[in-house]
Amino acid sequence: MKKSLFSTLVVLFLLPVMAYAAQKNAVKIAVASNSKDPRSSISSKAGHCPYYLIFNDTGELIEVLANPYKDAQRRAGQQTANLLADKGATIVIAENFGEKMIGVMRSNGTNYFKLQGVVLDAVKKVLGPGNQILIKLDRNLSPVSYESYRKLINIEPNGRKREYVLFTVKKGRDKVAALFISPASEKGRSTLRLVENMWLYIPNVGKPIRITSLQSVVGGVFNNSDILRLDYAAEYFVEKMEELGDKYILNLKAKTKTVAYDKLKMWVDKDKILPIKVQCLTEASMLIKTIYFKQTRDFGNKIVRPSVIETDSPLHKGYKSVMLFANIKKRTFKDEVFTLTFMPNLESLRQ
Amino acid sequence: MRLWAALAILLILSYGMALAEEEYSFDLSEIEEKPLHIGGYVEFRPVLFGLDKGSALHKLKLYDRDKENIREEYNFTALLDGSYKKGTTEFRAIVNTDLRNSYLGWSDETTLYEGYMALRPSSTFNFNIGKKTLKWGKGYAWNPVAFLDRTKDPYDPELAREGFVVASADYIKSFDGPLKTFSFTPVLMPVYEHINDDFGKVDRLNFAGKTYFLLYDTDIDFIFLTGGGKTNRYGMDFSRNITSNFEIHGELAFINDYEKKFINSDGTVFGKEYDATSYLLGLRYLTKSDTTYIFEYFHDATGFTKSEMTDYFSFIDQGYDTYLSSADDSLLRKASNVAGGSYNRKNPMRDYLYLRVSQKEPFDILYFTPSLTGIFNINDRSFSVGPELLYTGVKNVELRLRTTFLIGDSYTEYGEKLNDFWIGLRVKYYF
Repeated sequence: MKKSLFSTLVVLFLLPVMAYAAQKNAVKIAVASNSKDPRSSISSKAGHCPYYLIFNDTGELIEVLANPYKDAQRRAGQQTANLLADKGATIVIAENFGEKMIGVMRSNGTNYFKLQGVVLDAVKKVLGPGNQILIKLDRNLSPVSYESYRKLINIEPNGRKREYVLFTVKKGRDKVAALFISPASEKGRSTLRLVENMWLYIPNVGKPIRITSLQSVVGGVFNNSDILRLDYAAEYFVEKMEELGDKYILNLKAKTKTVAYDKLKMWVDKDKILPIKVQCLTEASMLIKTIYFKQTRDFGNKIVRPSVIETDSPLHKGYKSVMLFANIKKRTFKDEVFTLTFMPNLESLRQ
Repeated sequence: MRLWAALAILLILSYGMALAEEEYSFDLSEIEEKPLHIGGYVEFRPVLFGLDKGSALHKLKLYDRDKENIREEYNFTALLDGSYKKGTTEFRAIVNTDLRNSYLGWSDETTLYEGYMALRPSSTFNFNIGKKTLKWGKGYAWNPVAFLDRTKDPYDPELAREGFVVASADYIKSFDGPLKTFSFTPVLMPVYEHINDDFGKVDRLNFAGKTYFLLYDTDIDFIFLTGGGKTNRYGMDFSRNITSNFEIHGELAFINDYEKKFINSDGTVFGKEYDATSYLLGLRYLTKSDTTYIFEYFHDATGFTKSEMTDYFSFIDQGYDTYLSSADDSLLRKASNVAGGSYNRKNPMRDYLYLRVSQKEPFDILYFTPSLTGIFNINDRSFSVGPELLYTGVKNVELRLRTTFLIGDSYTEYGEKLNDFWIGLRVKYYF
C-alpha cells in the first residue's frame, strides 16, 4: 500500500516536471507580423513590429502577442528578444533584425531566420524537417555551453604525425575559445571566436592578433573555423533535404558571406541524428574538404556523439587531419571569459 | 575448411579493425591539470656579421679594434618559465639567461623577465602584482602606445621581453549589441632606486590605464600614462577586419613636453622640448594561396630629422679623424655617451615603412615558412631587407635561418650602421 502510494506521489511529482521539460524543449516559432492574421506579411522590423504570432511545432497558431515594445524609443529589440525567450520561443522570424536584438537572441540560444513573404509560408519553411534536424544535430553534438579537450593530429603522406592538445570552452551560439596544452612549443597560445571575430594570442607577442577563418593555427587540413566551429544552424540553413535509406542528406547554404564554406552537404544518421560525413563546398560546388565523424561514444550526462573526426582534402592530397574528443562536460561560463582581455587567463578555467 | 578460412579472415579483419581503432589515442594523462608547471626553451644562435669598416657606427664602436671584415658571435639562451597554481592564485616566473661569445670574449647575463602573482577571483576581475610585461598596442613592428613596455625589436617582434614591476588589474564586462566587450586595466608603476629605475625619473609613482572596447567588431583601446616618471602621454589604437582575410590596425600617441637631446656637428648637445604626436597605420592581408602581407607606416615624432642625423654622423667622423691624428678619443666617447640615448634606438629617425611577406608551406612542404622582411627609412631612403626560412617540422624544435642586408648612402641610417649584412641561425628547443 505504502509502496504504491509512494510510486503515485513520485509520478505525480514527476509529471509536471516532465511536462515542463517537454515544453522547454518543444519548438516554438515567433514570427514578426504586421497583423494578427497569419496570412499577412512578415514585418520588416523585428523589434518594433505590432504583433508576434507564435506557432507550435506542428505549425498551429497558439498565441497572438501584441508587441509591448513596438513604440519603445530605446532597447526595443533587446526587450522584445527577452520577452520572446520568456514566452519559450526557440525560433524567431522577421524580415530584418537589429544587431542588439541578434546579440540578445544569440545569448539566449534562440535561433533566428531572416525571411520575407507570408507568415504561414515562412513557418512551413522553417518547420521543414531539414532545419529541425540540423538544430537537433547541433544539440546532439554538444551542449549549448560546455568544456572539452581535443587532440588534433596532422598526418603527412609519409605517415609522420604532429599532435596538438587543446582545451576548449564554448557558450551559446557564437562564443568559443581554445587553449593549447601541448606541445611545449605551442603551450599557452589561445584562440578566441566571438561571432565572426577571431583572435590568436601568443604569450611572447602579448597582444592578441586578429586571424581569419581560412587560416589554420595548427597547419594541416583543419582551418580556424573548423577548430573554433559554431553550431551548424548558427551559420547555415537547410536548402534541400533528401532521405537515403537510414540517412538524411542535408544540403546547407551559408547564412552570410563571411562563413568559411559557402555550402555543406551533410550525411546524417536518421536514428541518432548525428553527422556521418560533411562535404565542404565552394559556391560553385567545388569540394574543399570532407569531414568524417566516427566512433560514437557516451561521454556521460547524455552526451553521446562521435569521438573522432577525420578530414581530408583534394587541395592537400595525401594529408589527413584528425580530431579526437575527451572529457566533454556541460559547464556554464560568464560572457567575460570570451573576451580579448581574458585570453591570457584561459588556463585558469582548467579544473 | 571454409568455416576455418572464414574464421581466419574474420579474425584478421577484427584485428585490423582493432588496430584501426587504436590508430589514434588520447591518453587522459595528457590533459591532467598539474599545479606546478615548468617549461621554456634553450636556444643556440650563431651569427656572422659582415662589418662596414667605413661606417659611422663602426668608427664609433670599433675605432680601437682590429679592422676585420667578418665577425662571428655565438649566443646561447635558456629561458625558464615556471608557474604554480593554487585555487584562484598563480605565481609565475620567467628567467632568461644569455651566454655570449663575441669579439669581447665570453659574457653572460641572467634577467628576470617576469615574476608576479596573479589573483583571479572571477572571470570579470583579476589582479596582478610583480614584474610583468603589458605589451600594449596593435602594431606588429612598432608600438608607439606601449608606454609601459620596453621597445621591441622590429626585426624580431615575437621575442620574449623583460617587464617592469607593476600592480595591475583587469575589469571585464560583456554586453549584447554593438558594444560587445568593455575592459579597464589600471596600472600602478613605482620608479625608485632599484625598482624600474631604467624607466624614467626616480621617486615617482606612475599611474597608467587602458580601456578596451569591442565596438561594431572593432578593437579599440584608449591608453594613458601619468605620474612624472616620464612626461604625460595619451594614446589610442584600433584593429578591425575589413573582410575575413584583410585586417587594418593603427596607433596614435600624444607625448606632452617630450625632451629630445641632440648633438650638432661641432659636438654641442642641445635640448628641445615639444609635444610629440606619433602614429602607426598598418594592414595584414592573407591571399588564397596562403601568402600573408603585413605592411605598416610609422611616424615617430620623437625621432631625429635627416639633418640631425647628418650632424651626428659628421661629429663621429670628426671624432674619428681626431683619434687617427692624435689618438685622442674624447670626441668619440662624447658621441658614444649621446648615442646611449635616443641615437642608439633600433630605428632612431622619423618615418618608416615596414613590409613582411610570408608564404605558408610552399610546394607542399609542411611546417616550412619562407618570408621576406624590409624596413625602409623614408627620411633618408636607406633600407634593410632580409629573407628568412622557418622550419617547425620537428616536434618542439624551431629552425630559423635569416639574413639581413643594410643598404644606404653615406650619412643615412642603414648606410652608417655597423654591419653591411648579417646572417644568423636560430635553433630553438622547447621543453
